[in-house]
Amino acid sequence: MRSDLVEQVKLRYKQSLVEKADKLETLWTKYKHQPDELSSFLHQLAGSAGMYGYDDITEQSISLRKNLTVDPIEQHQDQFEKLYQLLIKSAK
Amino acid sequence: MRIAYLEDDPDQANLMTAWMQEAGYQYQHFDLGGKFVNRISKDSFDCIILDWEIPDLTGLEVLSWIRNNYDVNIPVIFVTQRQEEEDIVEALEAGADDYLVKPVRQGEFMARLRALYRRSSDYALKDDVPLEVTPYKFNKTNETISLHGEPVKLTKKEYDLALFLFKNIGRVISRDHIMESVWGKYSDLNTRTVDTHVSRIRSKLNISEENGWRLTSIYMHGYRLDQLS
Repeated sequence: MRSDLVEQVKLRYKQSLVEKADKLETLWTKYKHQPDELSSFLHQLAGSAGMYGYDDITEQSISLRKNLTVDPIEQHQDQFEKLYQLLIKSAK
Repeated sequence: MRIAYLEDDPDQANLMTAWMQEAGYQYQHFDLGGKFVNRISKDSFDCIILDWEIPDLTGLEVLSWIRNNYDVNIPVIFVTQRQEEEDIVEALEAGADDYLVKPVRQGEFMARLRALYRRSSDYALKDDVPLEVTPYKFNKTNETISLHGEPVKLTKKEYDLALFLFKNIGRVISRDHIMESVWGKYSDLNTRTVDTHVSRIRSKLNISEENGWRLTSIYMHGYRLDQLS
Protein backbone atom coordinates (compact mmCIF):
# COMPACT_ATOMS: atom_id res chain seq x y z
CA MET A 1 0.00 0.00 0.00
CA ARG A 2 2.83 2.37 0.83
CA SER A 3 4.60 1.60 -2.45
CA ASP A 4 1.32 2.47 -4.16
CA LEU A 5 1.72 5.94 -2.75
CA VAL A 6 5.11 6.35 -4.43
CA GLU A 7 3.62 5.10 -7.70
CA GLN A 8 0.68 7.49 -7.40
CA VAL A 9 3.02 10.43 -6.86
CA LYS A 10 5.10 9.35 -9.87
CA LEU A 11 1.97 9.08 -12.02
CA ARG A 12 0.84 12.55 -10.98
CA TYR A 13 4.24 13.93 -11.92
CA LYS A 14 4.10 12.24 -15.31
CA GLN A 15 0.67 13.71 -15.90
CA SER A 16 2.01 17.16 -15.01
CA LEU A 17 4.68 17.12 -17.70
CA VAL A 18 2.38 18.53 -20.42
CA GLU A 19 1.52 21.38 -18.08
CA LYS A 20 5.23 21.87 -17.45
CA ALA A 21 5.86 22.02 -21.20
CA ASP A 22 3.21 24.75 -21.47
CA LYS A 23 4.78 26.65 -18.61
CA LEU A 24 8.21 26.34 -20.21
CA GLU A 25 6.82 27.81 -23.42
CA THR A 26 5.17 30.70 -21.58
CA LEU A 27 8.28 31.53 -19.59
CA TRP A 28 10.39 31.28 -22.72
CA THR A 29 8.33 34.00 -24.41
CA LYS A 30 8.58 36.20 -21.32
CA TYR A 31 12.26 35.59 -20.75
CA LYS A 32 13.51 39.01 -21.80
CA HIS A 33 11.30 40.70 -19.22
CA GLN A 34 11.35 38.01 -16.53
CA PRO A 35 14.57 36.01 -16.86
CA ASP A 36 14.58 34.85 -13.26
CA GLU A 37 11.29 32.99 -13.61
CA LEU A 38 12.57 30.77 -16.40
CA SER A 39 15.82 30.18 -14.54
CA SER A 40 13.95 29.20 -11.40
CA PHE A 41 11.61 26.93 -13.36
CA LEU A 42 14.53 25.16 -15.08
CA HIS A 43 16.25 24.80 -11.72
CA GLN A 44 13.24 23.06 -10.18
CA LEU A 45 12.63 20.95 -13.26
CA ALA A 46 16.23 19.77 -13.23
CA GLY A 47 15.92 18.80 -9.58
CA SER A 48 12.61 17.00 -9.82
CA ALA A 49 12.78 15.24 -13.20
CA GLY A 50 15.77 13.10 -12.29
CA MET A 51 14.18 12.07 -9.00
CA TYR A 52 11.24 10.75 -11.00
CA GLY A 53 13.51 8.94 -13.44
CA TYR A 54 13.57 11.46 -16.30
CA ASP A 55 17.32 11.96 -16.48
CA ASP A 56 17.24 13.40 -20.00
CA ILE A 57 14.93 16.23 -18.85
CA THR A 58 17.28 16.99 -15.98
CA GLU A 59 20.30 17.11 -18.28
CA GLN A 60 18.58 19.39 -20.79
CA SER A 61 17.26 21.69 -18.09
CA ILE A 62 20.66 22.10 -16.44
CA SER A 63 22.32 22.71 -19.77
CA LEU A 64 19.73 25.22 -21.00
CA ARG A 65 19.78 27.15 -17.72
CA LYS A 66 23.54 27.36 -17.84
CA ASN A 67 23.61 28.40 -21.51
CA LEU A 68 21.11 31.18 -20.91
CA THR A 69 23.51 32.80 -18.48
CA VAL A 70 26.16 33.22 -21.18
CA ASP A 71 24.38 33.64 -24.53
CA PRO A 72 21.33 35.50 -25.86
CA ILE A 73 18.13 33.43 -25.74
CA GLU A 74 17.88 33.30 -29.56
CA GLN A 75 20.94 31.09 -29.69
CA HIS A 76 19.21 28.39 -27.69
CA GLN A 77 15.88 28.12 -29.47
CA ASP A 78 16.74 24.59 -30.63
CA GLN A 79 17.56 23.48 -27.12
CA PHE A 80 14.32 24.96 -25.82
CA GLU A 81 12.38 23.02 -28.47
CA LYS A 82 14.22 19.84 -27.63
CA LEU A 83 13.34 20.20 -23.96
CA TYR A 84 9.73 21.05 -24.83
CA GLN A 85 9.43 17.92 -26.97
CA LEU A 86 11.06 15.80 -24.27
CA LEU A 87 8.43 16.94 -21.78
CA ILE A 88 5.58 16.15 -24.17
CA LYS A 89 7.05 12.78 -25.10
CA SER A 90 7.70 11.81 -21.47
CA ALA A 91 4.10 12.55 -20.56
CA LYS A 92 2.85 9.79 -22.88
CA MET B 1 13.12 8.83 13.14
CA ARG B 2 11.55 12.28 12.99
CA ILE B 3 12.70 14.42 10.07
CA ALA B 4 12.35 18.07 9.04
CA TYR B 5 12.77 18.79 5.34
CA LEU B 6 13.28 22.18 3.66
CA GLU B 7 12.50 22.20 -0.05
CA ASP B 8 10.62 24.79 -2.08
CA ASP B 9 9.76 22.61 -5.07
CA PRO B 10 6.45 20.76 -4.50
CA ASP B 11 7.28 17.99 -6.99
CA GLN B 12 10.45 17.05 -5.15
CA ALA B 13 8.77 17.41 -1.78
CA ASN B 14 5.85 15.18 -2.82
CA LEU B 15 8.10 12.32 -3.86
CA MET B 16 10.32 12.67 -0.82
CA THR B 17 7.23 12.62 1.37
CA ALA B 18 6.12 9.36 -0.24
CA TRP B 19 9.58 7.85 0.34
CA MET B 20 9.47 8.88 3.99
CA GLN B 21 6.00 7.49 4.48
CA GLU B 22 7.04 4.24 2.82
CA ALA B 23 9.95 4.00 5.27
CA GLY B 24 7.65 4.70 8.21
CA TYR B 25 9.38 7.93 9.24
CA GLN B 26 7.69 10.87 10.87
CA TYR B 27 8.19 13.78 8.59
CA GLN B 28 7.49 17.50 8.22
CA HIS B 29 8.05 19.47 5.06
CA PHE B 30 8.62 23.23 4.83
CA ASP B 31 8.86 25.34 1.66
CA LEU B 32 10.33 28.50 3.18
CA GLY B 33 13.38 28.99 5.38
CA GLY B 34 11.60 31.38 7.73
CA LYS B 35 8.76 28.95 8.38
CA PHE B 36 11.26 26.16 8.86
CA VAL B 37 13.32 28.05 11.44
CA ASN B 38 10.23 29.26 13.26
CA ARG B 39 8.82 25.75 13.54
CA ILE B 40 11.92 23.79 14.48
CA SER B 41 12.80 26.32 17.17
CA LYS B 42 9.64 25.11 18.95
CA ASP B 43 9.99 21.45 18.13
CA SER B 44 12.53 18.62 18.02
CA PHE B 45 13.71 16.35 15.23
CA ASP B 46 16.21 13.54 14.72
CA CYS B 47 17.46 14.64 11.33
CA ILE B 48 17.26 17.65 9.00
CA ILE B 49 17.33 17.72 5.21
CA LEU B 50 18.12 21.06 3.55
CA ASP B 51 17.91 22.35 0.02
CA TRP B 52 20.37 25.15 -0.76
CA GLU B 53 18.31 27.48 -2.92
CA ILE B 54 15.15 28.56 -1.12
CA PRO B 55 13.23 31.79 -1.90
CA ASP B 56 13.64 33.58 1.44
CA LEU B 57 16.85 32.19 2.95
CA THR B 58 19.70 30.05 1.72
CA GLY B 59 20.19 26.55 3.03
CA LEU B 60 23.55 27.70 4.34
CA GLU B 61 21.92 30.45 6.40
CA VAL B 62 19.49 27.93 7.83
CA LEU B 63 22.35 25.55 8.60
CA SER B 64 24.23 28.32 10.36
CA TRP B 65 21.15 29.08 12.45
CA ILE B 66 20.77 25.39 13.32
CA ARG B 67 24.36 25.03 14.49
CA ASN B 68 24.37 28.30 16.44
CA ASN B 69 20.89 28.25 17.96
CA TYR B 70 19.27 24.86 17.72
CA ASP B 71 21.40 21.74 17.97
CA VAL B 72 25.10 21.26 17.38
CA ASN B 73 24.74 17.50 17.03
CA ILE B 74 21.61 16.96 14.95
CA PRO B 75 22.46 15.31 11.61
CA VAL B 76 21.99 17.62 8.63
CA ILE B 77 22.01 16.48 5.00
CA PHE B 78 22.25 18.93 2.13
CA VAL B 79 20.38 17.93 -1.02
CA THR B 80 21.12 20.41 -3.78
CA GLN B 81 21.94 20.85 -7.44
CA ARG B 82 25.15 22.64 -6.58
CA GLN B 83 27.94 20.27 -7.42
CA GLU B 84 31.02 22.49 -7.44
CA GLU B 85 33.70 21.36 -5.05
CA GLU B 86 33.75 24.76 -3.35
CA ASP B 87 30.01 24.51 -2.58
CA ILE B 88 30.38 21.03 -1.11
CA VAL B 89 33.33 22.14 1.01
CA GLU B 90 31.48 25.25 2.18
CA ALA B 91 28.43 23.26 3.28
CA LEU B 92 30.46 20.58 5.05
CA GLU B 93 32.61 23.15 6.80
CA ALA B 94 29.51 25.06 7.87
CA GLY B 95 28.35 21.94 9.68
CA ALA B 96 26.54 19.70 7.19
CA ASP B 97 27.07 16.00 7.86
CA ASP B 98 26.42 14.78 4.34
CA TYR B 99 25.92 16.28 0.90
CA LEU B 100 23.98 14.86 -2.02
CA VAL B 101 23.75 16.34 -5.48
CA LYS B 102 20.32 16.31 -7.11
CA PRO B 103 18.70 14.38 -8.57
CA VAL B 104 18.76 12.00 -5.62
CA ARG B 105 17.78 8.33 -5.87
CA GLN B 106 15.53 6.71 -3.33
CA GLY B 107 17.78 3.76 -2.42
CA GLU B 108 20.95 5.77 -1.96
CA PHE B 109 19.23 8.63 -0.20
CA MET B 110 17.44 6.44 2.33
CA ALA B 111 20.62 4.44 3.00
CA ARG B 112 22.59 7.63 3.66
CA LEU B 113 19.85 8.90 5.94
CA ARG B 114 19.87 5.70 7.98
CA ALA B 115 23.68 5.62 8.15
CA LEU B 116 23.86 9.20 9.31
CA TYR B 117 21.24 8.65 11.97
CA ARG B 118 23.05 5.54 13.22
CA ARG B 119 26.35 7.38 13.50
CA SER B 120 24.82 10.40 15.15
CA SER B 121 23.04 8.54 17.89
CA ASP B 122 26.14 7.92 19.99
CA TYR B 123 24.68 10.06 22.72
CA ALA B 124 21.58 7.93 22.79
CA LEU B 125 21.07 4.31 23.67
CA LYS B 126 20.89 2.21 20.55
CA ASP B 127 18.11 -0.22 19.71
CA ASP B 128 20.35 -3.28 19.53
CA VAL B 129 21.99 -3.11 22.94
CA PRO B 130 20.53 -3.92 26.37
CA LEU B 131 19.34 -0.79 28.06
CA GLU B 132 21.05 -0.54 31.39
CA VAL B 133 21.54 2.90 32.82
CA THR B 134 22.16 2.81 36.52
CA PRO B 135 20.00 2.38 38.52
CA TYR B 136 17.53 1.41 35.76
CA LYS B 137 17.46 -1.74 33.67
CA PHE B 138 15.12 -2.12 30.68
CA ASN B 139 13.87 -5.58 29.83
CA LYS B 140 12.72 -5.41 26.23
CA THR B 141 11.25 -8.90 26.20
CA ASN B 142 8.54 -8.30 28.74
CA GLU B 143 8.70 -4.51 28.51
CA THR B 144 9.47 -3.86 32.14
CA ILE B 145 11.94 -1.64 33.94
CA SER B 146 13.66 -2.39 37.19
CA LEU B 147 14.90 0.21 39.63
CA HIS B 148 17.78 -0.92 41.87
CA GLY B 149 16.89 -4.47 40.81
CA GLU B 150 13.22 -4.17 41.78
CA PRO B 151 10.65 -4.35 38.95
CA VAL B 152 8.46 -1.27 38.54
CA LYS B 153 4.89 -1.75 37.44
CA LEU B 154 4.27 0.30 34.30
CA THR B 155 1.62 0.41 31.59
CA LYS B 156 2.66 -0.25 28.01
CA LYS B 157 2.62 3.47 27.18
CA GLU B 158 4.57 4.36 30.31
CA TYR B 159 7.22 1.82 29.32
CA ASP B 160 7.35 3.16 25.75
CA LEU B 161 7.63 6.73 26.99
CA ALA B 162 10.41 5.90 29.45
CA LEU B 163 12.30 4.00 26.75
CA PHE B 164 11.94 6.92 24.35
CA LEU B 165 13.24 9.42 26.90
CA PHE B 166 16.20 7.22 27.84
CA LYS B 167 17.06 6.86 24.16
CA ASN B 168 17.27 10.63 23.92
CA ILE B 169 19.32 11.54 26.95
CA GLY B 170 20.44 15.16 26.95
CA ARG B 171 18.16 16.25 24.10
CA VAL B 172 15.26 18.65 24.36
CA ILE B 173 12.35 16.66 22.95
CA SER B 174 9.14 18.44 22.04
CA ARG B 175 5.74 17.24 23.21
CA ASP B 176 4.74 16.70 19.57
CA HIS B 177 7.83 14.58 19.00
CA ILE B 178 7.06 12.49 22.08
CA MET B 179 3.40 12.19 21.08
CA GLU B 180 4.22 10.99 17.55
CA SER B 181 6.89 8.57 18.70
CA VAL B 182 4.98 6.97 21.55
CA TRP B 183 1.31 7.32 20.56
CA GLY B 184 1.68 7.57 16.78
CA LYS B 185 1.37 10.38 14.26
CA TYR B 186 -2.37 10.20 13.86
CA SER B 187 -3.26 10.03 17.52
CA ASP B 188 -6.31 12.07 18.53
CA LEU B 189 -4.86 12.70 21.98
CA ASN B 190 -3.58 16.11 22.94
CA THR B 191 -0.15 16.83 24.35
CA ARG B 192 -1.46 17.06 27.92
CA THR B 193 -1.49 13.27 27.74
CA VAL B 194 2.28 13.48 27.43
CA ASP B 195 2.52 15.63 30.56
CA THR B 196 0.35 13.21 32.52
CA HIS B 197 2.42 10.20 31.52
CA VAL B 198 5.72 12.00 32.12
CA SER B 199 4.52 12.85 35.59
CA ARG B 200 3.64 9.20 36.24
CA ILE B 201 6.96 7.76 35.10
CA ARG B 202 8.86 10.45 36.97
CA SER B 203 7.10 9.29 40.08
CA LYS B 204 7.09 5.52 39.46
CA LEU B 205 10.76 5.41 38.40
CA ASN B 206 11.75 8.02 40.96
CA ILE B 207 13.66 9.97 38.33
CA SER B 208 15.48 12.32 40.67
CA GLU B 209 18.87 13.66 41.61
CA GLU B 210 18.98 11.05 44.33
CA ASN B 211 19.08 8.41 41.58
CA GLY B 212 21.45 10.41 39.37
CA TRP B 213 18.89 11.70 36.88
CA ARG B 214 16.99 14.89 36.19
CA LEU B 215 13.89 15.13 34.01
CA THR B 216 13.29 18.80 33.23
CA SER B 217 10.16 20.35 31.78
CA ILE B 218 11.14 22.94 29.17
CA TYR B 219 8.58 25.74 29.08
CA MET B 220 6.45 25.80 25.88
CA HIS B 221 8.55 23.03 24.38
CA GLY B 222 8.89 19.62 26.00
CA TYR B 223 11.27 17.68 28.20
CA ARG B 224 14.93 16.88 28.63
CA LEU B 225 16.32 13.91 30.53
CA ASP B 226 19.84 14.38 31.90
CA GLN B 227 22.18 12.02 33.65
CA LEU B 228 23.92 13.80 36.51
CA SER B 229 27.61 13.03 36.82
